Formats: sequence, C-alpha cells, structure tokens
Amino acid sequence: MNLSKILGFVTPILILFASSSCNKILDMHPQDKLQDEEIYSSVRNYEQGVLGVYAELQTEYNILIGSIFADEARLASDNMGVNGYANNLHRWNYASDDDILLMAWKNAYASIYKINLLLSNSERVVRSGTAEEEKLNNLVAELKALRSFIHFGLHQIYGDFNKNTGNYTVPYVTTVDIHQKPPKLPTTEFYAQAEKDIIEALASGTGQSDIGRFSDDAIHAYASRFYLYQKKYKEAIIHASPLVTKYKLAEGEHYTALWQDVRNTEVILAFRRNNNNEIRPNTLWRNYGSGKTLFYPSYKILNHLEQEKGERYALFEDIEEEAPIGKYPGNTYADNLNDVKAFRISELYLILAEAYLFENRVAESSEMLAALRRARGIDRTATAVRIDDILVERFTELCFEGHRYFDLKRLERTLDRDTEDLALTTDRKQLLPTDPNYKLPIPFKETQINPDLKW
Amino acid sequence: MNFRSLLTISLLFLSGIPLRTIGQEKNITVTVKDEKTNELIRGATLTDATHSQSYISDQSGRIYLPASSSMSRIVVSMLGYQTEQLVLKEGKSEWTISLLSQENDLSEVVVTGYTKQSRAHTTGAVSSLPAEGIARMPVASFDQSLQGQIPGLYVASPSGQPGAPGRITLRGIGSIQDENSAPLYILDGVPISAGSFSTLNPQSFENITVLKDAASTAQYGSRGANGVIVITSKKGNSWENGTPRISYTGQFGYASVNNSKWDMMNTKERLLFEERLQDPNFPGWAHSRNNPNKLVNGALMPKTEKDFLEGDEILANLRGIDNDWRKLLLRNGTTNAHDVSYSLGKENTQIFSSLSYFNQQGVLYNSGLERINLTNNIAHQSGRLSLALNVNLATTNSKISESDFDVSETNPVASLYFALPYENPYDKDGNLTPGPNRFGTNALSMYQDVDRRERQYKSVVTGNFAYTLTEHLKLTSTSGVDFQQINGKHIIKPDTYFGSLVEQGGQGSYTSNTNNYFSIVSNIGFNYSRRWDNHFIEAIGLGEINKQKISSQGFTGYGLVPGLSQTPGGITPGTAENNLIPQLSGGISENALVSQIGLLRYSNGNRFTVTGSLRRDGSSRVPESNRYKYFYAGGASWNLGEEEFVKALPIISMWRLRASYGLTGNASGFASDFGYRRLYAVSHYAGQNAFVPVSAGNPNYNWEMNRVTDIGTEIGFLNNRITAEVDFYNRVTSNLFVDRTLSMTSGFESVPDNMGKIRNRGIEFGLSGDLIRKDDFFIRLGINGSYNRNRILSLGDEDEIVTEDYSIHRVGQPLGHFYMVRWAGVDPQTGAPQYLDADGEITSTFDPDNAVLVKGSFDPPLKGGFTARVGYKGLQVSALFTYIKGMYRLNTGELYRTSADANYRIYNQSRDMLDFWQQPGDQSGNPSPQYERFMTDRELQSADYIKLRNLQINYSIPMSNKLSKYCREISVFGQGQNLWTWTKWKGQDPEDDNNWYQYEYPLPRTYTLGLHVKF
Repeated sequence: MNLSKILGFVTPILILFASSSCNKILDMHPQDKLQDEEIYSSVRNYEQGVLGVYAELQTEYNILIGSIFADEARLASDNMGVNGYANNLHRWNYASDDDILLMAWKNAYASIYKINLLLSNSERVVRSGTAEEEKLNNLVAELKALRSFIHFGLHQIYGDFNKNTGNYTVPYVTTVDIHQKPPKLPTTEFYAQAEKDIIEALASGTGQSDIGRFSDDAIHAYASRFYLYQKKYKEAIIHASPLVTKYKLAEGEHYTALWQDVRNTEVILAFRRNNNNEIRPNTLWRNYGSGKTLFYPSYKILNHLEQEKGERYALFEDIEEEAPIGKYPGNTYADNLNDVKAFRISELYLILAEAYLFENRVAESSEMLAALRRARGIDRTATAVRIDDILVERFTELCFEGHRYFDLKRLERTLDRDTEDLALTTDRKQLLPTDPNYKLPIPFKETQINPDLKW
Repeated sequence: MNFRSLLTISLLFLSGIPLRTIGQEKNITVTVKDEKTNELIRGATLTDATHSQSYISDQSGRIYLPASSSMSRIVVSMLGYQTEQLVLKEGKSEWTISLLSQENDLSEVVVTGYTKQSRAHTTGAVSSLPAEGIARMPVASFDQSLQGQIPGLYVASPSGQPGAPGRITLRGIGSIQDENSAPLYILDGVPISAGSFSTLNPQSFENITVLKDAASTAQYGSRGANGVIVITSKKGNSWENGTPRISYTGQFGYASVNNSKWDMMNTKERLLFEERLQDPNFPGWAHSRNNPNKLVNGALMPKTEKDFLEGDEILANLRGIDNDWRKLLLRNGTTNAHDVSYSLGKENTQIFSSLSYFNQQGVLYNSGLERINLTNNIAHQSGRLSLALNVNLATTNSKISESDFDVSETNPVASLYFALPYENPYDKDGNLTPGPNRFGTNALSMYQDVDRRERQYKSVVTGNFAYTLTEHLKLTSTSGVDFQQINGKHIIKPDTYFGSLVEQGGQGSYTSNTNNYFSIVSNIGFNYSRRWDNHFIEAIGLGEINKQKISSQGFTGYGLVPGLSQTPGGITPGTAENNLIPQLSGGISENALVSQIGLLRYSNGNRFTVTGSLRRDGSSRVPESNRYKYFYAGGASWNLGEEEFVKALPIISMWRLRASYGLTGNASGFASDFGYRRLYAVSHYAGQNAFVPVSAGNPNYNWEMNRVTDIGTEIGFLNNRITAEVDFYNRVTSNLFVDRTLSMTSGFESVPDNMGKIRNRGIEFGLSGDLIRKDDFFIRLGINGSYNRNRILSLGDEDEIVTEDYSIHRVGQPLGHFYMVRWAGVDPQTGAPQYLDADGEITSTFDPDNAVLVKGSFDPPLKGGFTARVGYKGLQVSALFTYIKGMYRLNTGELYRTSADANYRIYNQSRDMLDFWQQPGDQSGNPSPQYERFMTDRELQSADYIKLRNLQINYSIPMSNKLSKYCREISVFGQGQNLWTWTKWKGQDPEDDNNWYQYEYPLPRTYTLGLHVKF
C-alpha cells in the first residue's frame, strides 16, 4: 500500500465532511413553535395573533390594585408569610420593588409589544378579496382600541392625577424597538395619543360581536370612561348615551346570574378565562392551591351594603362568619373560574350620572341613579344629587372591579379606613393625597434602567 | 493478473496477513507485554545488540524479525519501563517478553479524548485522577465526589437529594448565565449529557482526566470553553496466571442531617414570644392572664373571669405539646450498594463486565434513589483491526421531595423551620389534621399523600475502531449513542387534604411526562505517526458529526378515583360540565454540529514537544452569518529533567515546563436550539387557538469565545517523593451572552445579546509528598487549591446590569457581586430598623435605590482540598478535606426566622427573637414588630467552610493459607462522608451552587461499612 493510495482513500472522507450535503444537516427548523412568517401568511393566522394579545392580557392587576389599595377590602389573617399576596401594598408600606407593581407593569407592556408587532406588520398579511381586506382593517382597529385601553390601565395605576405635582404619566408606546427607553410623558400628550387610537379604531370599526372581544360598543364604553377621567363630560355623554338604550340593566336575580357567568345581560365586554389562565379574578381573593383566603370585603363596605339591602347585598350576604367576596363565585362548572367583566352598563349609568352632574343637568343625573337603584331593588327616596352620592353609589356598585382607588385618586380624595378594617392595630387609617405613598411609583426595576421615567 | 489471483490476494489482505510474509518461512515473533497488567505494548523498541538495527512493536505488541537474521541478543526498551534483554535461542520462533513499569510519573499515559500520549509528551494542563479513589464514595451522583481532588475544579453541591448533580466549574465561572458554564463530559469518546451522573456507576471507571487549558480542549472546539472531563472505562485484564479477576464490593450505611446550628424556639419560648408581641391572633397573648381584652369580630372587648379560666386551660394544653420537628420530618436514610465485576484479559480480547445495585434513601421521607447499572466493555485486536465496544445500561428509580429549591410552604425543609412547636399534627384518633398554616402537619401529610417519582433509562454505547493500514498510518473511527428517557409522575391522591386543594375538581391529580434525549456522535479519520532517530511526529485528521434530539410529552388528569391513583385509568375524563379537562404538553427540538478536526504533535525524544490543533465547527444553533468558526490552539512543553544542568541536581528528579494558548467556544451558552429566531407558541382564548410571541429573535447570535493562556510547571523532588504542580492561567471569555436588561416598555425584561467580556485569571497548585515511606508504614499528604480572580471586563454598552436576586454585574467587579441596602441596626428610641442610604447616612426608610456593593460575590476565589493517607501494614486511613474561601450567600431562612413583623410572625422564630425591641431605651439587634422587615446585607452571610468530606478506613485482612483457597484479597472498610463542617454559615449546610438559600434539601452526613473481596 503506497502513500498515494492511502491519501486517495482518506481525502474523500474528509472532503465529504466539509461538503455542503453534510452542511445541509445544519439547516434545521423548530418543530414545536411557529416562525414569524407563518403569522402573516393569512388573515386567519393574523387573527389568531390578535387572540394571542387577549390570551395573555392580565387586567386582574388593575382590579387588584384598584380594590385593595383603598377601603373596600380587608386583609385576611392567612395572607401573610412567604406566600403573602399584595399585603404590603394593601397596608401602604410597600417599597418600589413590590412584586405586584412589577408584574402589572410588565404584563401591560408585554401586551402592548404584541399589539405593536402585529400593527407594524399588518401590511405583510397575505389577503385576497374585499372581505379579507375589510377583516384586516377590522383587526387593525381592534388592536388600536386594545392599545389605548391597556395604556389607560397603566395610567390609572401609575399616572399622576394631581395637578400640583407635575402632571406626568406613563409612556405611550407605539413602536417595536427593544432598546427604547421612553421618558415620562406629559398627561395631556398621553391623552392625545390615546384619543387618536380610539378615533381611528371607531373610524373603521372592529366588526366584532363576540362579547369576549372589543366590539364597537366596547370601544364606546371605554371612551366614556376615558373622557370621564379627563373631566371631558360632553364627550363622555356622547359615547355613553347610545349604549344606555341598547343594553338593559340586570334586574332582580339576573344580577346574581351575571356574576355566575350564566347570563350576559349587562355585559358589554368580558375577558374570557379558562383553566389555563393562572390568574383570574377569583385568584385575587383566594389562593386555591393552599386553601387560604387572601382578602375579605371590608366592614366598611359590608355596612354600606347592609344598609341598602337589595341585590348588591345579596351577593355578599352569607351564612359564614366572614363573608367572602361574592362577585366571583365561580361558574356552573368550577368554583374558581370566572370571566373578567371589563365593562357593564351599570358603570355607564354612573358615568352619565357624574357627567350630567358636572354639566349642570342635575335632573338627568338623579334619573340615572334612580334607574340603577331600581334595578338593584334598593329603596331610597331621591334627594338632590351631590358628587359624594355618586361616589358612594360607585363604591357599592363597582366594588371589587378595580375602581375605588382610581375614583378617589382622580377626585383627589383621602383614603379612609375604618379601625376594624386595619390588619394591625398600629397600621395607618388614612392616606392623604399629599402623602408620598398615595401615588404608586414606577417599578424599581424599570427606573433603574430608565431613570428618565422618574418624576 | 487474472481474477483468481486477484481474489486470493484480496482475501489474504482481508484476513490481515501482511503481504510481505507470504512465501517467507518462520519469522521470529517477539511479543512485548506489560508485566503487571498484561497489556500489549505498542511502540516498544527492539534493538539488535550486535547489528544495531532496531524495530518497533506494532499495535498488537508484536515485532517480526526475519528468520534469516542471526540475532542472538536483543534489547527491548519502552518509555516508562525497565529495559530488558533477551537471548534468542535456535528453534523457537515465538517469544514473549514482559517489561516492568518504572516508577516515573512521566510515563503515565494521558488520555485526552482524541489523543493518547504519555505525560512527558503532553503540552496541556491536564489533571488525572484514578477513579479508584472516588469510586466507593456513597453519593449517588459521582460528580459530587470530585470536589477537592483536582486543582481548579470546583463542585458545588446544591442539594442533598439522592441523585442531585453538582455544578462543576473549571477555572472560575466563564459565563454570565452561570448555569451554562458546565464542562463537556466525555465517556469513552462520546459526549454524555451533564446532570445524568446519577445513572452511572463510578466503579466501572478507570480514570478521570480533566482538561483545563486550550491546548487540551481546543480539539473540542466550540464545546471546550469550560473545560472537558474525560472518563475512561475499565478494560479487561486477568491475573498473571490468566484467570479472570472477579471482585465484589458491598456497602451498607445510613445518613442523617447535621443540625448543629439549630436554634428555633420551643413551646415555652414561643408562647413567651407571642405574649411579648401582644398580637391577639396568637394564643400566647390571646389567652394570657396579662391580656385584659379579647378580640371579637375585629373589636377588642374586655375578658370575663370565664375567659381567663378558659385561657389558662388552653395555654396549659399547648404547653403540653412541644414538638421537635426535626424528629418528625427528618429521618436516618439508609444506603445499600453492591457491585460485582468480571475482568478478563487474553491476548487478543479483553472483557470487563460489571453489574451494580445502589439504593440510597434520602433524609426526608418519601425521597430516595435506586439504581441498577450494567457495564460491558469488550476490546478485541486481530491483526490490523482493533475495536472496542463499551455498553453502559442503567435504570434508576427515584422519589423526589416536593418543592426543592423553592421558598414556599410546600417545601418540607421550609416547614421544618416554619412549623410552630405547639402545633399538634394528630387529632385524638391519631389522624393527621392538615390545614392552612399548619406547616408541619402539612409536610407530614404531603409525605404520605403526594408522590413525585422519576424512572430513568439510560444507555451509553460507544464503539472505537482502528484499522492499521501501514506501519505509520491507521484509520480510526468512533461512534456512540447516548440515549436517555425519563418518565416522571406526580400523583396527588384524592380524598386527602392536598387532593382537595387541586384547582380542577378538588379530587387529586395525576401528572405523567416523558422526556427523551437522544444524542449520536460519529467521527472517522486517520492517525499518522512516524518515528525516526530521536524525532516523533503524529498527525490526526477527523471529520465528525454530532446530533441531538430532545422530545417530551405529558399530560395531567384530574378527578382521580380513590384507590386507583397509581394509574391514568383512575382519571375522570373531562367533559363540558365537570371542569376536569386534562392538560396536555409536549415539545420537540434538535440540533447538529458538523466538524473537521486536525491535530499535530511533534516530539524530540523526551525533551521537547510541540502541539497544534485546528477545528472547524458548524452548528445549527447559530444563524448562518456566524455558523462556521475555527478554533485553534498551540502548546509546547520542555522536559528540563533531560537537560544536563538539571541532571546534575540530584534533588530534582523531574521538572517540566509547559505553555499553551488557544481559542475555544462555549456551545452550552445557547439558551435554546432556535433562540436566534423570532418564534411564536400556541395559547388559547375563548375556545380558540391564539399565537403569542415567545422570543424576540436576534440575527447576530454568536458563540461565546474563550481565549486561554496557560503556563505551568511540574516538579518532582527526591526521586519523586515530593511532587508539585503549578499553573498560571488567564482566561478571557468574550461575546458573552448577557441578559441585557431592557426597559419593560419594550415588551421584554431582557434580551440575550453577545456583548460581554469576562476574565478569569488565577493560579492552581498541587503539592503532594510522602512524609514517611518505609516498608510497611507510610504517610502521604497532599494539598491542592486554586485562587481565581473573576473580573467583568465589559458588558457591551452598559456599565452594569442588575440581576433579580440582589446582585449586580458591574464592569471591574466580579460576576454576581451582591448589591443590597445596608443594615444599620435598630434605633433604641423608636425600635425602628435603620439602613444606610447610598451616601452612608442613617435612614429609617427602606429604599431599594440605596443599594450599594456589599461584601462579595457568590463564586469563591479560593478553593481546594487536602488529603492525608496513612498506611500501616494492612490498614489504610485516608481523609479528604475540602475548603472554600470568599463565598457569600443570602440566607433567606435567616430573614424569616428573625422577623417579628406581621408578615412572618406566623412562622417559628429563632431564640434570638426573644429580646426584640419593646420600649424606648432597649438596646436590641431586632427591631420592633410593627415595622416591616426587608432583605438587607444583614442576611448576607459568609459561606466559607472547611469540611471533612470523606474519611475512609480500609483494612486488608491478611491472607492465611485457608483463606487464600477461597479468594485472593479481602478487605473491610468504613467510610464517613461530609462528617464535619467548620463554617460561620447559620444553617444546615453552606454548600450551594447559587447565591440564595432556598431551603434546599440538606446534604447529610453518611456513615457506611463495606466489604471488598477479590477472587
């Protein structure tokens, strides 16, 4: 065997390994995930991308913070220790690195990223025919409405409503850029951008009728809430009035059925929840994995409800010593699963009552309140309406839906708790709008990277 | 030539008879063997003393001398052996000569994966450990037994769960994602997955070689950055008279937890604590005579005399219960191991087989590991072909405790600290009474009602082939398969407390999942070696393919039927009405690596050696723009012991210098197989499928690159009675995957980007020597250690990155330096906790913005071990101590047991808490209970330790005539593992692989007794 024969034998082997056919082995594709291109390959896939935004949107954080930060919830004695949930936030001695604040911020902006990603690629979607073209426009409108809605939720939690301290709020993000570090935004500009999305969405319409997604009615409902917070009462009335004729208030026992997800009488928009959702409105008040109750209704609200009797009280009245939070009793099949009712017509009644009051249309204002009370089976003689009455009505009607803290914050009221509702006798009873802990800070992790966000 | 002659010649060729011997008559064949091991020696030199011609023995140890030669006296020599002479007599054509190996470390053969050469010719920093020393240690995952034995190798054992793997780093942590800094493991030429050592039987290993620098690891190219650990299995060899060796080793023992730092309150102390707290939710105050009020519906009302009497009775009952939860939740776990092996070495065939059984119960109930392992190594040489087939099969059955590494109330180790001493787990009928906040009872109930099991099947099959084409050239090929299947089950029984807490249906749950891991490697190439005069050259060229495939599938079903909880048949199918819809999961992924390797070595006698390696890797895990990379290294070594001026110094018996430099890559730095792409996963909404983005994609994804410089020296004194080894190294890892923190407004918290640079620079040393070396008495001591300085050189555009757990990566500092708010004691006037703000001023407000760099990092700069062996006649005692210095850890357990604040007072506290601040003027270390407790550097503790890791006492029973009829050797031995720990750490064990204490399964003390018999 001479050398040349050896080389002639060996070299092809080595060349084989360097050849392109071997290198084709390296062209692999993931088999359990989808690639970017497939999302835009049809309008149907694009719609599933839109559903992806809903699937991971956790508005429960708004409900939690809006409720427990004010006076409608009481900390359960079990809600302590390493598995404690929002207890520091509730007792007003949280720090800026609080878990709940971080998760709310993260989840909202992750959802906004999904929306922006889809919007920036909407032109790539393969479509044919006018029906598909229109469907695409509807989906784009739905995404814009969602974007405005989610930003507004962030603004409710972290934004500054106090005119004296500077009037800044969270950034309004419309671009996909993972390296962006947007600074704090003046509130007026925030409202302008959010409004732009609402107007564009309504212009093309979402063509959606499913109660689990943003229909045009849902956008109107959201818009009326949006304008109420800005004190633009005329616009609020314009958006809310048509809905009041279209949707009926739930009467009598239909109210309880509403909360059990049996009927949809009042509901304009309800985010669906299923077994795969880790967080649902029910899990905010009770940790099912360990069997511990996290929050009870405060004695303050129970007293109010007891005084008025009627359907609202029926939700909370119970044989047990300490009444659980009755708005999320579970549905027919599971006691720990409910959809999140984002917009109900009752809220619009209350928005109209407030708007009419500030527009000096007092009679229409008390008419709204009276209609609501009638539906709830509450007997009360009509008196001259003042803003405090509306606030109390919102307190008892919209409890545990994430409104109380935000209502008091936007009207610059003190947060007042009864002594029996305090977790510890040494805890504070009051939080004034001038107290540093009154306004929730931007999460520490964010301001570390992005110091321009602090104000 | 006609066809028939062609056929004859081909057949002869294939049958391996060298062509040149056809037609010749009766060659003289001399076979050269190793006297001790009977192995055939290749490369031995036979010199004809009269005609000064020399011949070299081939692969099968044979030298062919022409029959016509008139040689009578021959000299046979081989590096590392004593030279022998032989007189050839007429008439005999077959001769065998056995060489006795010399006591010279430089002759030791070093296996570095693709190459095999003597230590004298090795240019890389390579440490070798004969497996015998660690094979018998009673740890289920043998990587844990490597600690303190090899300079530069640090094994952190995160958990005492039987079978839990350690985390091994070589020469510091070279990656910011420190879980991706594991070395590459090779078993008989085939890479095996890390973390599966609980399935391997160390008693079937011959040798473990650790490759540390570039000259030795660059042959592994993109996977060599973190070092390579090469394991070689045993080969068959018989006793001198040819009979096979049969041996048996058995061990029995038990393990228990080291609780010397336990200081939790007992019932009396706890009730006193509650009384001082004045919290009406706790019995110590609620029923105290000193408390005039009782709590009714949230309001305080005065007590009546009846209330006081009731209170007295309740307190008396509570005082009667004083549980030591250590006795209830922990146990002594037993260990039981048996190993039988058969070893046969004939001329052409060597067989090694072993069967072993290992069973270790964990110190927490319902946890443990059972393993059966079968090893079969066959090697065969016939003519030009030599092949070796190694088969390793194992099955393990383990029970795993809940929530390991989790600070949660379902973790039994946490329950140990949380449970109150007056909590009575049983009712009057003797049934367990679990419920919310009954931590101890819940842990007991979990032991019996929740099962977490894993059954693993693993097989590693490797084949090595070599075909000698000519005297200098041979073809080689290695192929191997590593297959692993893990079946996990998690069963929560229905009709139990935990069963009722299952969200879907409250009737327990049955989870089953299967993970398959399949890896195949195959290479083929040539090995050319030539020796002339004093020169020796070896060149190796290979082409290699590596492919890995991972798939998993699983389901969780609900609504178990009581009594049928052990099978999926007991699951109630989900319907629209019953909310018992099962959950399904699955995944599949694969990756491939295609490489070309070239290695070159030149040696001048024993004096100089120069090596070079070049490897081109292409990986499917990297986007096309960066897919192919070249990795290279060069090394040189100089054996000063051959120089005249050193030979003149009798005190120095060996002295080698070596240096190397090279470039390697870290392929395990990739978080996933397709992380560089933008991908979507499937989710659901309103009964429809939805797509959610899961990775942002990064088209510039690249390998992490490692440049290592190494200079080392090995010295032996006094005839190698004392040997020392010192290495300086400088390892710079660039293109590091940094989880670049982003503003969350971008949609992501962080994105991995290749932009960091870390330097690990240090010195490794090992010193060992015989203090006394007499006929039947010796004392041998050794010490090894390494000092490593880790510095972040660059983080791309950032100056610092804050990580989740109170630590920061800052340029100029070591990786993972702790970054926390500083504690400044308790204000004696108000009892408020005090902190230092960023400027060093005292403040009472806790603001995470005031965090500064504190104390140190979690990777210890100084680590190593010392060994002592003493032998007298048949008795041998060996001790292994391991030590680390400079490691800090966050003791979260300490926070929860020194917190009287509202959040944590439901947990049992440490005795120190009896004197928390109560009134103005109190000097106390613990603040008033009305203030929140936050994590500060008060909880940051030093985790330095010196451990007596292993103590073995071995006695060889002297062989009397009667005994030697039955067997050749009997010895009995006793072992203690993890016997003593000297440390300041306040907890069960300071060892861990990360910077938090998370109530990990404690590392126990194990005592065993064993018997070893050789037939």
